[in-house]
Amino acid sequence: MIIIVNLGCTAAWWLARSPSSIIKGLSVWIRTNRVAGSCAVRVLFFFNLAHAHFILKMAAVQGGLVDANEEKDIKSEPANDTWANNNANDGRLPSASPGASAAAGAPEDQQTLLAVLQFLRKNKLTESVEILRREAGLPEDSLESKGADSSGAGSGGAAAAAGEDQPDVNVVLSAYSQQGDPVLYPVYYSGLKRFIETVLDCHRAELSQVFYPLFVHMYLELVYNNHESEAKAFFEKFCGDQECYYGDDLRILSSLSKREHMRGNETLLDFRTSKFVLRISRDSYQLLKRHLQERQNNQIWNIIQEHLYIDIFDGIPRSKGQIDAMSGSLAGEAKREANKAKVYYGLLKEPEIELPLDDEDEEAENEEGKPKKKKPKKDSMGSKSKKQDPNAPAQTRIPLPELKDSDKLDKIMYMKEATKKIRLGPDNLPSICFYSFLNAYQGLTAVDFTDDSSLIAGGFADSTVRVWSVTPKKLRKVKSAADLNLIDKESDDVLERIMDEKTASESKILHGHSGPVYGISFSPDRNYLLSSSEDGTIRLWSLLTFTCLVGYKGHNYPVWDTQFSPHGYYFISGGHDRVARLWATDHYQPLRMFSGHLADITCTRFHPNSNYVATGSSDRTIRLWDVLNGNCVRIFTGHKGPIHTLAFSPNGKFLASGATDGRVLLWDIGHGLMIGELKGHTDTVYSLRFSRDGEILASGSMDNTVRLWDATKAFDDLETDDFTAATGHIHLQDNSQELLLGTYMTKSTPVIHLHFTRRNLLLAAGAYNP
Amino acid sequence: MAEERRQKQCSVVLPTESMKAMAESVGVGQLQEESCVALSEEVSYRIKEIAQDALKFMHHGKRRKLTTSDIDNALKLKNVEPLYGFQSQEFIPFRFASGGGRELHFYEEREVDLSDIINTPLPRVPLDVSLKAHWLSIEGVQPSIPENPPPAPKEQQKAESTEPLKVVKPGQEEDATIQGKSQGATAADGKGKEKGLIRLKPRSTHELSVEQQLYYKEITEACVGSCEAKRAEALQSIATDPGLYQMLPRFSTFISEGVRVNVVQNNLALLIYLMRMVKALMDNPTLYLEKYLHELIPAVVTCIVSKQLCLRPDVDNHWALRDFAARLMAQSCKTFSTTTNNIQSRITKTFTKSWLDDKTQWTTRYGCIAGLAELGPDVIKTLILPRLAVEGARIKAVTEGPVVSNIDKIGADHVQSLLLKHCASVIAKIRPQPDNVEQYRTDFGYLGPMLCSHVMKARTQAALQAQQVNRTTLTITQLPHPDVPSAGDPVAAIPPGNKVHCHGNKCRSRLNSAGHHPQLLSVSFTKLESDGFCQNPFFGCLVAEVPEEHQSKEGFTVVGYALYFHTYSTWKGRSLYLEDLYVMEEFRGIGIGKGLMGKVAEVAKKKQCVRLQLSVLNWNTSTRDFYAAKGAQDLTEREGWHLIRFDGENLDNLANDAPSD
Repeated sequence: MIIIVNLGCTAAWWLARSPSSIIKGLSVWIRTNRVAGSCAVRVLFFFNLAHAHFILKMAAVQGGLVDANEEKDIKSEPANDTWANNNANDGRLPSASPGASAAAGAPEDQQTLLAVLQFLRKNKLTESVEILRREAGLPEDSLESKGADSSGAGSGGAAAAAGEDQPDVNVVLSAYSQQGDPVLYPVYYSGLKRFIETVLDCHRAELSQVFYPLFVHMYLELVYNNHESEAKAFFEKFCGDQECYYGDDLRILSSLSKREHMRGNETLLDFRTSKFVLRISRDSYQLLKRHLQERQNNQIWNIIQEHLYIDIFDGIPRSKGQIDAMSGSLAGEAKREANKAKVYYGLLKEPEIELPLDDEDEEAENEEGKPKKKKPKKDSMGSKSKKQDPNAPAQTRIPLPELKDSDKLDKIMYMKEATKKIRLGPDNLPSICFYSFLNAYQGLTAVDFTDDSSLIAGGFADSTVRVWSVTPKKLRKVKSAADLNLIDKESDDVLERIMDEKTASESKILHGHSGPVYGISFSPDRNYLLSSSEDGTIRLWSLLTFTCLVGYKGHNYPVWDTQFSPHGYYFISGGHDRVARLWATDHYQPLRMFSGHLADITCTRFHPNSNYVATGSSDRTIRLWDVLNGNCVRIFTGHKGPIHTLAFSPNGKFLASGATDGRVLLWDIGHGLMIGELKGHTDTVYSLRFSRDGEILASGSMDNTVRLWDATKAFDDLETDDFTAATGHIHLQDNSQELLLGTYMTKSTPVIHLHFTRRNLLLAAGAYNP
Repeated sequence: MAEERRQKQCSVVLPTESMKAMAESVGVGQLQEESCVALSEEVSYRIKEIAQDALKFMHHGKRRKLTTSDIDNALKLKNVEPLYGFQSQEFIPFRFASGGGRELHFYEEREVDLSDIINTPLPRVPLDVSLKAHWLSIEGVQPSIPENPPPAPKEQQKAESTEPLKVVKPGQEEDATIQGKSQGATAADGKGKEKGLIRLKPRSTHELSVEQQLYYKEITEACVGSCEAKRAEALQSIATDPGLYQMLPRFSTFISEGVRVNVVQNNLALLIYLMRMVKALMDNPTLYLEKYLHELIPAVVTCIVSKQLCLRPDVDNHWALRDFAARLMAQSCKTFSTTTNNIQSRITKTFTKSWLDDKTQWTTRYGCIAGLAELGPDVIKTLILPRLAVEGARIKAVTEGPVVSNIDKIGADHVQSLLLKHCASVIAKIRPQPDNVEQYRTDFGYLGPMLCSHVMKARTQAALQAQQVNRTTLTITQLPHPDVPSAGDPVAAIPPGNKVHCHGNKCRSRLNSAGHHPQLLSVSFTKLESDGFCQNPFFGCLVAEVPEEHQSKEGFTVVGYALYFHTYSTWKGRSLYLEDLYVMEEFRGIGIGKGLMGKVAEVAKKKQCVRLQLSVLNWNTSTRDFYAAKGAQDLTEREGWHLIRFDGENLDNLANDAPSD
């Protein structure tokens, strides 16, 4: 079963990748799983059979696509650039017939295949090599002669590198083969700069986008071709022109001055393997193209063709403000197609649970003099949940765990509490209760509350996880097995009897991790706790026995965040290895791997309907993934720093994100648009939370403040006409000041977690730093 | 600027000399220049790479400070073994040395005596993490409790009153103002108005919440009530509570009205209480009174110069009140006088005018002179000294002339001693020696001879002090000066102690603002004064002074103090109890605390005490470690002592239960 699931998800994963990233992915795979033991390797064998097929299919599809593109000639993509082109199809399933043979692919594809084969062989996966080779219809000696082959296919610079080490991978990755006169680089660049400065105002902003990627690639080309001093001069001359929000990347770039440095530098690898995406209007693009052709400026033209993906749209060029709002990510903006897939953002139908009329409760109400006001409310709630949201996914789109009796009880509790919920609004701000962690010298790194706000868990840099009860009910362990035998299993209060009173305490410490705990999450039923750590594992803890149940291994690098699905059972994790993994608590292998981010995944969050997960990353993008098929269905760009927190609105329509740049951005999931920008924080925003009804957005930050924002207004003011939706060009008003409802300073306590109780009381948590 | 910096960043490379040094340290003797260059570039690059990764760990650790563990984790990412043994709690600075044409930066490694380590008691186990909840906001309004930062920081209050136009600017400050001032509804109002082009500050009615009204009632009642203990508590609360901002207008009205009524009724006690309230308000570090000076200053001035403050002017000590109020006046002039409001010059003019008036009564005359004298030596020099002769003649007329009335005589006496007290020190500074009685007589008339003797006394004292300061950079002096008189006078002047006390209060309030147990502070400044500097002082105090060139940022030369008193053990005999040991933060870690401790111990030895005891709060680990390192035993841990206290009502009850004798 496990293996089948694995096959499914990995297959989907592979499908979504272009061949060049397959190499990368494979190496990640091998790297991460070699340690995991023989079992993983066996699994690898299994799906190798399958994915070899997929690789072939991909090759075929590419062949087909190239033809189509050439006919359309909209993007004026060069014929030889099939890989990244395929990147654009991230969400699309291959529709071309798999019948076409690999031989139909371009010669580069064959070369890719050879590289894949070589890679597999190097990792001693002989069986896979054999099968892949057979299916590709390659002669047996093709591998033997590949050294010569590849150096022949790759050009000058690459061949030299090929001899040194890992020739196969190098050939695939070496993109800076052509070489111009290094002295001319600054001339070319400043020529283009002059040209762009002289064009009409309306085009200038758009064309200026070209500067940064061009600058980076020209610099890398110089470095790659060992023109160290020229590269340095080039960098110093032009780095001041770049937009300030690329500062972090430029700093990394500046430290790199040797070809050897390029290998192994992940930031650069991203630059070279993925294309930088720019959105430019047709008019502006024509202008640029004409200029470059007139000047015969091949150097720049080549870079634009090879390393840039220009997403051309019809209509008026965008303004500087519009561009700035969307740019800033590591690899440019998201392509428009990337956000076109349909997202079922609606909520799942709530299971119908009869609300038992609690007599005592009713009486109490009567005494208070509010006789039957509750009744109609309950009815309205019931009817609301009965309606099927047209945007909601099918109830069974992904299998969800069945409700247990205890879950039903909890639901009832929830509904009861919900009737007592305070309606919030600009005139009715929530009260905030702040939980300060005192004496947390070791460093508080993560906090989570249970949904019913009865427990708090804290993750610490000293590898411990601590759980507190914030209600008078103390934390108790289950009795030992021997004692459990003595209990009368038929008694009514058996659940009470199994608890060991002697162990009752207000807090419990969970030891097990061997590195700082960065992510923490309670299961919705409050029986489990997840924690992710620097040691690369995610641990599942039982809150009945306060012991570790499972250690999920797979990331092998620090796991920055993890979260339980709102329906339990599933959970998502993401970390330094740039892959988000979807797990089920009863599987020790991930069910899905979401790969596509170009840098660490810093935060992960489940959509309220459990069908989607959102991941934020240090590459300054947010991606939304479909749990069912592993596709990336949305890419949001606009943040200028690593994203550290995400929050879905309770109705599932909107997403809020906070980053180190101190801004909070709001996104419309259905349309795939940025719809708001909340400025005010002066440091990293570490936590965001919508109130239970979604009227208020609370944000907590490193700058020691909690801020409340008018979410209703932010979403109401929205004008999403068809045009904006179609082009994705938004006009953001600067209305942060109007939307800000309150700022509450804490006393030198960074706010790292926020939580709305079921009655809309806001809980905040952080460690007091005297 | 930023670009320049960036360019600098990209060119930073380790010097090749370090490569050579490192090569030598691992036994590679001759390293070629080329290899050095290559190596240093490579190493610089790798170090930068690791630093980049370490930053990630810092961000995820939710810290602003990069730590060695971040570097370790970053190394682990790269599959490099972390550097062990570099976690030091202390900051080890780089030392610099040059010689032999080489410049060296190195860590100074201390020689550690092993026996020291073995013999020192184990460091105390750090406290466990705990969780504490408080209200950050209640329905949109931040309650003023010690857990929250003060609603409107003092700087902002100051800016608001001195530069009202500047304050209204978008952003954080503005929000804080609005929240600090108004309830939820008015906050919303304010927001609405901000939308308009002209940013008007919302005219909010200062509505006090029920709790605040209650507090106000309790405090004012306690302040003017008959129970001294309660009053002390109330004044303490006014002087330290961070949340009084909203009640300030009420307090100031209360004081000004109170003074107006009680002056008419000649109720001296109440006037003293009200002045103490003013003092407490001024002492509160979170308040800025500028806006309320129009009410407070007239009240204070009234207490200084009013013709009659008490029912029996010949018996009651209203002079002390005048002195105290004059000091308050001087303090507010110092803090609030600006070029725009000209408080000091206006006040000076008022005083001089009524002093010069011939018909002015002796009481008013005394107040005017006291008010002027408190403003500082410059004022004394320019305004009082030239009039000494005239004033002397007038005093002479009363004392030696025909008896007018007893009251006038007493008044003249007091004016005389006041003039002598204030002028002597100033004259001692500006007049060259030697002091000739005849010369003084010609210069100052009737007061001349007396002045002369006072000046001489002042000179010898100053010389003594100067000697002390010169001898060591750090002076630890015992506070209760033998020549400090006037037991029973609630507001006696204590020249050297004064400074320390203000300062002590400040230290305490600083402690307070750090968020620890403000309820510990219950003794007011005046009480300290009267308890410590009477005939049988309740405590002794040592202060640490630094020479003026090392003074603290706020300009204090007294940078630390130790307060102690005697206790007695029926088992062991005399012992000393150290109540307070405080050293300002800037001066910590250079041995002042140790010095003070040593001096206290010396006092103990001198007085034949067998032990020195003190108590320290649980959370104050650094101090506990300090004492432990000095060899102190922890009695709570060792013998299970509990600190027991009766106070307030319980103490009253206990006293009431006492059998009558």
